[in-house]
Amino acid sequence: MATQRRTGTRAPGTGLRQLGDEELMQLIAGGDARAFEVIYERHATVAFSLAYRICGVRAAAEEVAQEAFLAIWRSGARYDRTRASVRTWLLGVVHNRAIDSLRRSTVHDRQRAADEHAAEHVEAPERTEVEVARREQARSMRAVLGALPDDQRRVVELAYFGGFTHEQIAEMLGAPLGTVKGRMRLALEKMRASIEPREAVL
Amino acid sequence: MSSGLEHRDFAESLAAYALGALPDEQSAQLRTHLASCRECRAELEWLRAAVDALPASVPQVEPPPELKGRVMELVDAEAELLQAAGEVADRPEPPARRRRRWPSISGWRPSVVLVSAAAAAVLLVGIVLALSSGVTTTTARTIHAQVTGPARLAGARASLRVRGSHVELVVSRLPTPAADHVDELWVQRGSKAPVPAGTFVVQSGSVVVGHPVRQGDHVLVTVEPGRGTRAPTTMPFIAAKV
Repeated sequence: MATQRRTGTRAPGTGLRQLGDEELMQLIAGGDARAFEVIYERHATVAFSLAYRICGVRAAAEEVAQEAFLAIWRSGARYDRTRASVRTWLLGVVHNRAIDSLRRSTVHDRQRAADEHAAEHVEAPERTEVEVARREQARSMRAVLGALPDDQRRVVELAYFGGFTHEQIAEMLGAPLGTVKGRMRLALEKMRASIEPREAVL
Repeated sequence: MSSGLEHRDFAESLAAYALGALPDEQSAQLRTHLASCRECRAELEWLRAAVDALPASVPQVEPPPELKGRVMELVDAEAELLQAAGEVADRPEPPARRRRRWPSISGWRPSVVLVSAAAAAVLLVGIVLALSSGVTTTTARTIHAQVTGPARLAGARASLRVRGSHVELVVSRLPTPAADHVDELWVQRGSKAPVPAGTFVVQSGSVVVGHPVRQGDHVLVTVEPGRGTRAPTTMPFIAAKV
């Protein structure tokens, strides 16, 4: 059915596929749907995976991913390459919208969302080298998260994947606010240092 | 410059801010501080790289192929619209002639209509938003709609998609109506009073015109208070003739 609907449109050519994300964004700002299709193909899996991890429900994750990609398409002209990569920008939009969607759901759902092990996960098949590399990156980031002390990992998960404020987390864990903020900071510093060591501060 | 104590308070909240865990008001205060504190900006940038890496820790799940179909269907429709509207938008506007076409509009008075909740509810029943489905690019006829006023300045574009008696208004980059206001569709036949055809709050997407439309009818959009009115109280800012 998809092919019938798409009559009259062309698949992106190899020329477009060779362009970087930032160059594609310039074409998208001018209304180039095929350039957008390349962006979609490159980032759909990571965007959907993040939405699914946060929402925990396929239908909600699809809605969030769709909204986020359409937001990228419609605001192409506002993309600022000096601030973030296209991928980081897109994932930021996915995260915001997924958390909004989650905040409209119940506290029970949100606690489940923050607990990775309760969610059903069907991993995407590894097809291309890029996907294999991404899978590797995912494994290593999971290892970094897994290496954090439980109390530090928990506050990161509740905040980032559960959408709770630090005050809500303090209440849930029965810990002082300052302690929660301190755990967040320690967790991020360790994760950050594992990505690359801190350079001399300017 | 901030005092030392304030700076320390903000610095301690940077990780929570990067994780999106600060309530809105505290986030706003922190952003004000960041504007004047280079040290906090550098620290936030450092911590944010860790947050940016969090999506990579998520198990990768392939999206369903239908998702791409739905997204690209909307994108293709909007790209087509932008292309069509772009050609017309470059031409000078012919306001005098357009205005004479709807003499009844200038007589609309803002205070004429008081809407009951029941009437508004009836109007809302007629609304069908077709944001993620119903837009096909095959047999529909596209008619350019004229956009005027602030919406035009904001770069909004609109067109009608006509398939038989089924008419959709396709809009892009429409400014959001003020609080407690909605955009309302009208169908006007000849010099008769416009008939309400549904309300909507959509920036980009398509909206089904909730009233039968015949050849020669005008489809108009106005901004209306509350949940819509039974007769227009403002001048139309989108207009198209079927």
